[in-house]
Amino acid sequence: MRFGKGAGFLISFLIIAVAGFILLLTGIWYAVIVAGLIGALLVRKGYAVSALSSFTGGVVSVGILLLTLPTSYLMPTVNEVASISGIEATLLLAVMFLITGLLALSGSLIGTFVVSASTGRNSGPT
Amino acid sequence: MRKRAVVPPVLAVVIIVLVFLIGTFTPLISILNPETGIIQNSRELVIGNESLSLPGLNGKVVVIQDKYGVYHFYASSLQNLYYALGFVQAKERLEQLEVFGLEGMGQMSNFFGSSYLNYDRFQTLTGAPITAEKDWKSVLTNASTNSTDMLTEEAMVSYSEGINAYINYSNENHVTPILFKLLGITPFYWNPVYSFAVQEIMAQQLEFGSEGLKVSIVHSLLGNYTYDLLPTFSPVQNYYYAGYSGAANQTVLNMSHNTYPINSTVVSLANSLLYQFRYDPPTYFPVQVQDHSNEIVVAGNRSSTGSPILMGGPVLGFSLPAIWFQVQLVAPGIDVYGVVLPGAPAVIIGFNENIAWTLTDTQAIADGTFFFVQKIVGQDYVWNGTEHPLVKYKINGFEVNWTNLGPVMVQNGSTAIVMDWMGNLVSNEIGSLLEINSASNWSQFKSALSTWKAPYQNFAFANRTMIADISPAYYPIFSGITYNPAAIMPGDGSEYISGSIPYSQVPQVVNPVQGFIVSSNQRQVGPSYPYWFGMTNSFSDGYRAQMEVNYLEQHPIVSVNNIINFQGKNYTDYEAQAAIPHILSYISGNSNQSISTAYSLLSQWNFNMTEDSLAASVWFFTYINLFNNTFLPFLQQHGWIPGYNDTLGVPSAMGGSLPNTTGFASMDDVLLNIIINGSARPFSNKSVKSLVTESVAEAMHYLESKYPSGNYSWGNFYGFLFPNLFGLSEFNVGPVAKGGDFNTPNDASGVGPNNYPTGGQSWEMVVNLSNVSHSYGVYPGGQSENPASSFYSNYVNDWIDGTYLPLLFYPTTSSFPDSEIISMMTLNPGGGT
Repeated sequence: MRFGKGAGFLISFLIIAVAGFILLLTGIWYAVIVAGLIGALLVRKGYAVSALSSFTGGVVSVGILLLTLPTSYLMPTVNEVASISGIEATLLLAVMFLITGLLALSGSLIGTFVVSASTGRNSGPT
Repeated sequence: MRKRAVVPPVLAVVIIVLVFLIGTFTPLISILNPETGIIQNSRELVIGNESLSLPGLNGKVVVIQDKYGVYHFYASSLQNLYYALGFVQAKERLEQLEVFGLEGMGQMSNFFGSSYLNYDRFQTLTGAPITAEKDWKSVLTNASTNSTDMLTEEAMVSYSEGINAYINYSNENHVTPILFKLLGITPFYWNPVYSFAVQEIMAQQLEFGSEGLKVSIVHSLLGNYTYDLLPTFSPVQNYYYAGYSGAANQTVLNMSHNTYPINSTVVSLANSLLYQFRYDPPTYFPVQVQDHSNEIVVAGNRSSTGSPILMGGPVLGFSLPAIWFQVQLVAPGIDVYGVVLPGAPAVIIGFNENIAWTLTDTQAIADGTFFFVQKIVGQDYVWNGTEHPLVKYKINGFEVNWTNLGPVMVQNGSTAIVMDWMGNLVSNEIGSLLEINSASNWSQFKSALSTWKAPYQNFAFANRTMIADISPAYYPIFSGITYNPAAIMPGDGSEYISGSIPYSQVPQVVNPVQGFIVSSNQRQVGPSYPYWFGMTNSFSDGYRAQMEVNYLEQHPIVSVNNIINFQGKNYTDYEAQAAIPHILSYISGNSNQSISTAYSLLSQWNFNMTEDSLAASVWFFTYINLFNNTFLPFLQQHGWIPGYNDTLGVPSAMGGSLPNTTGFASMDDVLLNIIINGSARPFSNKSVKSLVTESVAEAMHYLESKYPSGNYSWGNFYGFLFPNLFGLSEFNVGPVAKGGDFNTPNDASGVGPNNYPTGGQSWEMVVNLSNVSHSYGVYPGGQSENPASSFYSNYVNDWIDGTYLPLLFYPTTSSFPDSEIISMMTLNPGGGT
């Protein structure tokens, strides 16, 4: 695809967020890796764009997933975990977002590596 | 390829591997996983209609949850009914079920770590796990010839399958309770032995006492003063629901006054065992309280409906989730409504179309727990001069030795204390309850209870035309040299249990002339009853019962609403009513300003322990101080205090209402008698006037110092706390102020701020026998054990307010109005979900 880095980031972010959300509906957390991979394979803009868009896209994907649950059920459950574990509920959610972002990031790093290996171009952080 | 180029993919792999490994080995990360964690648990909370296919089910079951949260099961067969009950109960209460089963079987440490080893050891020692195994074996052996055992087998097997189906469902769908996930615990599969272990736990909660040890130690300290402090018959009780209020039976009295003398070795062993009783038993479930309960049945000629009214109010420890689970069970041959326990598939207290019943604890005959000193020689015990081999059990990693009398609880050399606990009799009380659930008349009801052994319970009964009460159990008859069975007895064969009180002679009454029956843990039979039935210190002091009797005598006709208001909101303290006129006469004319204030408040008081009452506080603290001033110096003088503070405990009034103290019901009886009769001997040489004046002054000093503004209303000291069962204080509810005290139907000992009551009427039910569909009830808790659920503690406020909820009772799904339904679950036979 031919477009600038800004548009590339946006498109990649949208692909990963939407694909991530759909894949998360399968219930498999690691499926977000595939979303990152797809984003990187479709939008070939190097590691920087790929990493940033995949991380944020991953975070947003799990955010959308959480929005599909009524907060009246989700937050009491998170609070229950927080009370038992002694960790703040917001911190727990932050860790969930972080891990989802990192998983998407991993997929995108692999995807970008595959792209650079197949084209022979250096896709390093330009 | 340059080395730099492989850094990103390597980094990616490292991230994935790290997340995977941490997620695998750290429950916290796993619980954040959308696949296995909080998202799945949140989805499980969504209330809505659903349809599931479950293996093992052989017919459709419709489960309706009504708008109050109560589950109604409509099944095509009994097997499917109990299967569905197991499935749904596990869905709402899996943690509670599992903990209950583990506790009963003495296996807590297997799941929750070595800190529970003492619990497990003690539980194993009591014999409960062994008896649970024997109970189930007996059911299997007799099922082909005994209809009750056949029904029990059918119910237990189906119920267990239902629980296990839910465990499989929860594993497959990652909806195992959060607590289990965080602890990394996989639920164990249920089997009927665990249900009998639950039966054992209930027997322990209700009839498992250390009175025998206490009385022996007290006797070794006080000698014959023991019978002044712990008399056989109450000096103040005058209502016995089953009669026999004539002159004391001398043989019975002589037995009680013939305590077997024990030497210092046995005293030391008894004290050591008492320590274990006090500190080792599982307190995990439920929180123990003085188990004082209320039951009233009013005949049709005294009710505004023209038909009987039955009131049930079992007092147990509070917990969230509560001990009860509220259901209606419908299948061919059964349509019953009421409350079930986690782990037992029978309605314990409830009603069906024809009858209603409720239970209270008899607290009779030393709580069915007897102790003997027995000689052990090597691997043998001695009985009638002959050595017999000990029976050895290896269970839960512990070795337990049994003699012919029961488990050897403690031993020093050849001297051992052996416990003969009626809970260790092989029996099938769950089977009796299953039979009662479908009984339609008194004859069937009474017949179902004929095999009941323990725990000792009073069963109030009503149908459309009659009322009755019966206290069935295996009440031992002692023969040989009859020492006091409420103390340690000789275990050499000279005294022995020769049988039990015949069923026709156990306390019972049918359609009494006064038109009502009250059986609220007071002694059931009067002093002329021909069998030894226990001493005052095991029964309730009887003040609640007397207050209930007074109410019914003063109200010749009562309605359902009258009974609801009486049970939920009547805070009349009968003991205060009986004592205050005398207390006023002792302090009348006293010139001390504080005592004058007390006089003024008490003289205008209506004896109601309401939250806003100042007089209630004055009464309570006066009485508490009077108890201490009368008894404690005497106990100090005889070495009870401080020598036995950790075992006998420091007594305090009203069931041990002060923090870190112990209740002795008989002392409350004795103290009221002292107030009324004006002599404190042999406990104190002071005049009662002097003791009362001193106690009022101390009470007023305490109240006026604590609340200089003078606002020392009772609500500052009394309220109820509902603790989370698993010790998660974030999920406690309360303390919430409510009127009452130890002598009112609320009935739980304790006073704040450090000792709020954590027990009370655990299920309040009023059944209208003219139309059982117009019955009401509430329990303090909620149907779900999940703190995130809207049904976790939703009934607590209703319970506090005295608001009873309609007990919706529809015979079919089609008759259930849509407006009353919040969800409908259809369980179908099948393989998957």
